Amino acid sequence: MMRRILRFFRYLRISKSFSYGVITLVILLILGYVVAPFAPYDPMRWGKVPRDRPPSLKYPLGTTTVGQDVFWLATYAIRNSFTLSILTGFFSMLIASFMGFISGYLNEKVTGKLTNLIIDSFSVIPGLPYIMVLAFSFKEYLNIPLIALFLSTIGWAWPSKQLRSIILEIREKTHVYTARASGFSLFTIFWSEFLPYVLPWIATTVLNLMTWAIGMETALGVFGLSSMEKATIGTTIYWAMNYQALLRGKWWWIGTPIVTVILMITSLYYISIGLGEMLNPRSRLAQLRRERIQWLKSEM
Amino acid sequence: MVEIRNVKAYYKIGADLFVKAVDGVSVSFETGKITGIAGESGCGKSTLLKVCIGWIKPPLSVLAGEVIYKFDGERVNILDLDEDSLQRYRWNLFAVVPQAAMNSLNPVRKLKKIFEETMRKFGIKKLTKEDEKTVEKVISDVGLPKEVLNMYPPQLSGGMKQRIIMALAIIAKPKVIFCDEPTTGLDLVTQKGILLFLREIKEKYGITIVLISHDMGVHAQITDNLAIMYAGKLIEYASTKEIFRNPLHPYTKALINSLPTIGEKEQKEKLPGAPPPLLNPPSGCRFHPRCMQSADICRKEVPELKEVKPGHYVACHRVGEV
Amino acid sequence: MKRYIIERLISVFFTFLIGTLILFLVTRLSPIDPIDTIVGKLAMMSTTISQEQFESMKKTLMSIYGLDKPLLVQYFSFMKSLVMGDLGPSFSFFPTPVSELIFRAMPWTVGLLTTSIIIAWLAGNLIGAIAGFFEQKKFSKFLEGFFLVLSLVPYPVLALTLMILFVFTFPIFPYFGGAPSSMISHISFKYILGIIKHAFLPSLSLILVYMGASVVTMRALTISVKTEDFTEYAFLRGLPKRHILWHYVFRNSMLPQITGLTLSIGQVFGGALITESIFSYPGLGQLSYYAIVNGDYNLLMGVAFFSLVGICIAVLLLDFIYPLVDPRVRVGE
Repeated sequence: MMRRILRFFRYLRISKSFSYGVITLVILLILGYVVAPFAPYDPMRWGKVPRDRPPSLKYPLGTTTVGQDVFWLATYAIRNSFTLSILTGFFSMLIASFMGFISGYLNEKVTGKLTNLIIDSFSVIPGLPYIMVLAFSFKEYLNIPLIALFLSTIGWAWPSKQLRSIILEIREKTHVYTARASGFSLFTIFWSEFLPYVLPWIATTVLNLMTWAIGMETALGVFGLSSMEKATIGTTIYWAMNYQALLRGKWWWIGTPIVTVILMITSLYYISIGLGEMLNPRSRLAQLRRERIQWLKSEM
Repeated sequence: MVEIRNVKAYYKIGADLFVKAVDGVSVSFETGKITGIAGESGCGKSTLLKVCIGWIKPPLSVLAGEVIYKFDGERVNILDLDEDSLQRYRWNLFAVVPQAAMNSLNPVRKLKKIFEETMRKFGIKKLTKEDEKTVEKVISDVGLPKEVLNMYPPQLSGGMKQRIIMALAIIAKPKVIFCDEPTTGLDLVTQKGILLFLREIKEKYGITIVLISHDMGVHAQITDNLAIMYAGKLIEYASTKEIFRNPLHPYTKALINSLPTIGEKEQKEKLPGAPPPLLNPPSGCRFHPRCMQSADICRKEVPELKEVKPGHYVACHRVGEV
Repeated sequence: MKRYIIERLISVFFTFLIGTLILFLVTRLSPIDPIDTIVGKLAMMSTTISQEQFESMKKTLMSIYGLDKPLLVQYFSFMKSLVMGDLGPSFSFFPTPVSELIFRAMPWTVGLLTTSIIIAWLAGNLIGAIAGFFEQKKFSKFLEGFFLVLSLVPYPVLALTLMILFVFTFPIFPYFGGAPSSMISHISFKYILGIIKHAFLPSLSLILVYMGASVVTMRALTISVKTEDFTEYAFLRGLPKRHILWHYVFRNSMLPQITGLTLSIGQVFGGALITESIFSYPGLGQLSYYAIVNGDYNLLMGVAFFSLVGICIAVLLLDFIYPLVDPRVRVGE
């Protein structure tokens, strides 16, 4: 455990992109979860502040046409978007694990093949139109968890496919055969053979799902199908477009969500890459090789 | 045909760390004969091959030495050549039969096209009818039907692919062919076929062949001359007959003793120890830690390759003393 | 080869089944009742349509949304209506049938999507292959980083950014529409130029994001193909570099990319919808936007259904193209 933490910090120093990701994410999380509750007013409410003010000292990111403070709006939006993405990741992984395991483990049986067909179908179905139909049908009830659920109905497909191929690959690996043949219990095998391959994948996939969810929520927002009461990135863009923010030159209203999204997504992505490399057993091999050479050097 | 002079080729794996895969090797490959290079895994034979064909990619680098091809009255040191010139000699002067040829054929390319591209000497865009006939003849020479030309590599079995690789090697009529473990992993019948084919092309076309293998049985069957390598050094060289009749280096003796003979009932003796790490080889004679006959001098001085009998070279301090 | 075709047909057909099943379930579970809406609308327009038209409309809606018969029967009549292309009337453009609106908008979307994907796939793969072939060079690493960031940007964000830059900051491109609105639509050079001008930014938006993913994956793929035995053997034979790049490296790394395209086409389609609605491009995207804003449930369902059909057709097409470039499938192993 201690070694893992040390490795984390060492990697932080080595990889510039990873540190960028972590730092940005931490800042965003602080803004969203720590700073947001201190908002002096509910940022979604209209008319709380003077309208259409460009960024100034008092209103660091300006105000909207309906009298909202863009800065506090952004903090709430960050929080809600993150919550949404985490929930989506969670739900999607649940479904994906279930479906992935079945189709991977029972690959030859009918159930396995059927599950595989289902997974492939969901991978091909155009996600956005379907989620739009779902969101539209339940428009009045749209809240963050529900949107996450809807997103997950499509989001599980890709991870499921990957999990299936991981399981198939693991099944074929000779060292698993050997372990089984040597009489190791299924649990021990799972712990020492499966987990090292599956854990890094879980970490990266959850982060990828989060990235995807944020992007999809933005898309839904453009169509006005995101949560109307809560501040989200998508909703902000929707209102900004509706009030012709671009045409009227109120760039801060539409610029803020855009920049926020980019920051969120890039930070999550670089973290997922960094984690993937850190946890990847094969890259650890390369690290081991390096360490061995160091040792040999010292022996000479 | 090919003369290798004091080649030192190392793999760089760290700031000051080198794996001394080939450490000062000099040997000649006689024109029109089959020379075998034998030795355990990791003794440097494959690296020597790479140097001979100019296949030097980082982390490999050649620190010293020459590889000289003598043909048609010319002498060319390929280590001196730049990439473009080397490119011209590839397959014209020398060809390679790589190890594990299973995946050496482009799976999405028809065999016919693969032959075409190999034969396309510079300038000639389209092949003539004559060229096609040549290809067909070579195909039948390796024992394959000419229909195989219209097939794709994934449709062929391992043995068939190996024969295609052989056919590709001779199609451009090179002067030298290097074979890297051509029989490893194949069944005995196919192995025999390949070895006989090699002998045949030597006799028919006078091609010089260099055969790398860790299998002494293979060398016994078709090689004319044999070079034994150990830990990056050449330790013995003579005609194959001479080596098997009268091995002088202790390592060679051990190698030959490992071959089973029909009727033998005694247990084979294993050579103690393991091949040394090439990162930091033993001082003096590299074999001395495992040698039954090592003396003080073996630990201190590196033995030179000396001609102890006409045509028979050995690198050992204690030759003739035991 | 035969087995391959059958497998693909089954797969696509199954996708179609599941897709329509989901739509069916949504219509049954949704709290929205379109039948009431139509009755309400008709009450206002009772003088303009005949009784028969009304009855046929109601019948369609009942088969698509109704709950009067047992579930299985409902499902079959639902499927029948869909397959016949009968999706009922649009609410916002009453009484125009949904299918008519969709067919009017479809060519714009298909045109935009096809050109963007073709350009992005070709350009992306070529750049990726070159970047992979010269993996150590500086430009290769730069390209990878650049396109990586590009691939992460969500479609709406890139579309908005392009709009900010090239419509408002530097007003080069038009704000909305698919063709110059001031001209009568007949084929003339100026008209076509106008179409290109209107389509440029939306198409660029789609191309950039999709190219991002293409370049990065193709580069990685190329690097792995480069180390394959057969590529090395080609070098050993002294084959010219350009020959190897094309016939060995590209031809092999291209194959998984085609398969990848069949899987990402749904995503790009979604991106097209968003981009269209942002640029007010007269395709299915804008149609969906109107549908949502006007509460036009029928229309939205129709778009979803046609999206499914469109994607299924595209996937099938790609599946049939694949054996043409991969001889291993053609010939069996």
